[in-house]
Amino acid sequence: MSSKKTLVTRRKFLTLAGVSAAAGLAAACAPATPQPAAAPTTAPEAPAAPAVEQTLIIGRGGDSVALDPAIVTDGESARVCEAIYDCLVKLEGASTKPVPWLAESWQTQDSKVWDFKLRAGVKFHDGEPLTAQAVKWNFDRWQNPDNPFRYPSQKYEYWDTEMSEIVDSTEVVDELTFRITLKEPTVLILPKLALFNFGIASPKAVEAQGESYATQAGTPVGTGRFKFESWVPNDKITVVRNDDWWGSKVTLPYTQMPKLTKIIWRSIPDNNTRFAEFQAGTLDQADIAQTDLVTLEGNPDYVFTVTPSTSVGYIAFNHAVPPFDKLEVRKAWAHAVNWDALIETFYSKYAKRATCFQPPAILGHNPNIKAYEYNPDLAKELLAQAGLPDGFETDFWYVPVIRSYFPDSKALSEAMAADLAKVGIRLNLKTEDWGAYLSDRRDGKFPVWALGWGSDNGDPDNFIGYHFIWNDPKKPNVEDGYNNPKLQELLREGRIVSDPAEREKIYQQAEQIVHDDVARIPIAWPANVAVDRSYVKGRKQWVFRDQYENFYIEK
Amino acid sequence: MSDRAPGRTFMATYIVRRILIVIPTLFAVSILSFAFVRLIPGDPATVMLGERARPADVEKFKEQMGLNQPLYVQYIRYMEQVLQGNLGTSIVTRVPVIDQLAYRLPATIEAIFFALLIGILVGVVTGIVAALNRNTLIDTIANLIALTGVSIPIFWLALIMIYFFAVNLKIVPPGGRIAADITVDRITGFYLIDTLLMGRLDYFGSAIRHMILPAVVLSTTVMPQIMRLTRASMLEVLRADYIRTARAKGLRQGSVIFKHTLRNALLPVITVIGLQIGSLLGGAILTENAFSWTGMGSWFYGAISARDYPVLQTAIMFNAIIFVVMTMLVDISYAFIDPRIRYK
Repeated sequence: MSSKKTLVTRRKFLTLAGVSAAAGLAAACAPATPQPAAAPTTAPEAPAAPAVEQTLIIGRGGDSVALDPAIVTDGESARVCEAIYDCLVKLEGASTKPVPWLAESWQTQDSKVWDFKLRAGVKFHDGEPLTAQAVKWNFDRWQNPDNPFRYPSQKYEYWDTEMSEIVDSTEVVDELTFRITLKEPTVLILPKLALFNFGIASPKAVEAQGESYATQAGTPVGTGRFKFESWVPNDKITVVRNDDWWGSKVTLPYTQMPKLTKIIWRSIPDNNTRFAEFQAGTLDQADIAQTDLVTLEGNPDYVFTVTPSTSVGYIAFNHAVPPFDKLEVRKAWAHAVNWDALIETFYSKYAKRATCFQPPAILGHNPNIKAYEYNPDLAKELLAQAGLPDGFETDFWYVPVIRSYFPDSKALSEAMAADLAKVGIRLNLKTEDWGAYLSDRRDGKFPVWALGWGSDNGDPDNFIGYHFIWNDPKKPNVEDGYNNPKLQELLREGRIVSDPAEREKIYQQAEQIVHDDVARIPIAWPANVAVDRSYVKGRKQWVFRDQYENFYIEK
Repeated sequence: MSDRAPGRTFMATYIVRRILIVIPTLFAVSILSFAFVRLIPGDPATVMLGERARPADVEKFKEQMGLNQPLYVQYIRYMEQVLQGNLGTSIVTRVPVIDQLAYRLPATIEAIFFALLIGILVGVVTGIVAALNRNTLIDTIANLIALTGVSIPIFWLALIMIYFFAVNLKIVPPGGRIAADITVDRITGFYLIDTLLMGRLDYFGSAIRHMILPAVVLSTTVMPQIMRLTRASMLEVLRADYIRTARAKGLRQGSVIFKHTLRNALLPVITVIGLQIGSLLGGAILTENAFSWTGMGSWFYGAISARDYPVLQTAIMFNAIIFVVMTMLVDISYAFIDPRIRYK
């Protein structure tokens, strides 16, 4: 859904933690002995069931595609699914540490066979009980292409990419014990299970509704904090609080009952209209373009929450197209532009100059790398070394849409072109429709272009790995013609190693190679900025997880 | 030409001929719209999968959606479906297009109805006033307003109106068809009717309040033409001999204007209003988008950016059908009004 102008990039709201991220994992999984559920660490909160109605109205750029988490990949579907469904495992608040959720505990002897003990007494919104059979029913549907409850129109993309390679089989051990057997021992299964896509749906509901399950014509049924109420296509989706939610009956962190009684997501595709509605007070929260945020700064009616960047805007070269096959030329480009000035002018104040490819919040970010300094003389020298003392002329493609990583790609490109002209690099600025842009770029039709990336889950395999691993390691990638075997090797290793510290080192080396090769020039890391009307309280600095349980209205 | 029988035959032949022309026209429209939609660069697979699309995913998607078939095969398959009343399934939402159409059409009809009402009322009244005060300050002002109305980009006007009336003055809501916390039962799809059927006057009030800005903004696409035509037509009729006769008979001014002038002057205006439905549909695309109005216009707009071929196709076909049918009705009504046409 990245074509939409929505500013919640695909999956800012997704759960998955890094498929490794950080110490949390090690802590959660290191012992190969039976592991008890996390002990209660907070005093049980009195089930918050205020008599008052608390409705939160959220304005967003597009409608959900469907509310069946197994078959969707877009952020607008994810946001709603997270309210309706629960996964076996959840990520702890601000961190990426997996904590028990529908599974109250798990144990494994060898990290290959995992037994998940389900919570007793959990009910789906339709009243059906959550059992190991019900969980297996879900896994069967995700895993088996011949399952009768899969339809040709449905793609199980997340199972296919995240799980199919590691999960071997599943079985029901007893009424409340569900076993997953992996192909190889790995602890990465836990954060993967926390992906919103693996939320458990009511088998009865899916069977009854068939292909229309959880589409605009159907009803999604999970075990989550909120129950589906209605969906007016392209207009709004309404959920109401599930007062029987299992979480309110246990005393675990993050299981407090939400104070909100109702959430309404309104689809307002036009950025200006959404912003106007937010100002008019008809929206309590809204996805606002960073460039519009300035207008609201200092206004006591709004509260800003800034969380660390999880995305990057960059310039990419096609290494197969001369003169970009020469390292000196790419380097010259990097040094010829006053990037700091560009970022100050064309980004909101929440953005930072990128020093390497991944922002600091992503594992493997390399703090030792220094950003390419602004040095036109050096740039000229490098061009001369490349045999191009008079520079050269090239087409440059800029992003035709507004992204947080390129708030105004055209203006930035013009300024960049002016800097480059001073060292003799002459740009013909070009762009085209977003859909065509993406596919032409992928087909290797651009010599040099602008684009960016936002992390889905905080994991480096989904960040630097996504950009530089190619399915055939021997052949350069069509898109950018770049192939450094050492980099390929490192990034593939990063997928296997599970020790976070070791993994971090691997990705830091990869960062260094990308920097030394000037494979791409990272420009900016835009921060994630959320803005609420000031009567909406409770937002925390969580990046990869929903937080509907935190919000409440205090007018 | 006093013999009525041949006239009636000619008339019937004319109408039949006029209706028959619609069939090949629509056929041509279907081919053109099919081709145009696919000529837009960027395919739905790439647009849907976005930055993360890998070639294999794109191929798989195309195969599933039948997009890798030759164009003529796709067209034949599409037409087969359409003739069976199946408009296909949206690529993005996987919901049958016909269901979406049923939901969005009433929203647009509601908006267009009120826009037309405002356009006609204001346009005709200012047109009359301008004609009666020809070459005075009032006339100049009316003309100026009409000119401005034609020239202002509709999305800009919408935004200004939203900021002025909804954000600053807070007298009307900025967008949507009804307050967000109201869910209207789906009976007819017309909120103004359904809220009444639900017996909820407060809901009805909310729907009316949400209607004001979009209808006013949309009415500017037709109001200037109606105003200018009314004015011109009034002036022409006012010069006619029979008006002079009426005045000479000593009829009162009001009677001359409303009974003799207006009735004759409005004939061409009425036929033009029919054709204006087309520009209203066009205007609805931008207006609905600006007011997050979930009608045909915003549907069309969204389908363009998503390359949702089945939706796009239906929207284009639908607009074309309305245009063709309206033109046909206007042509036929001309034949009734102007007897010369029948004999050509």
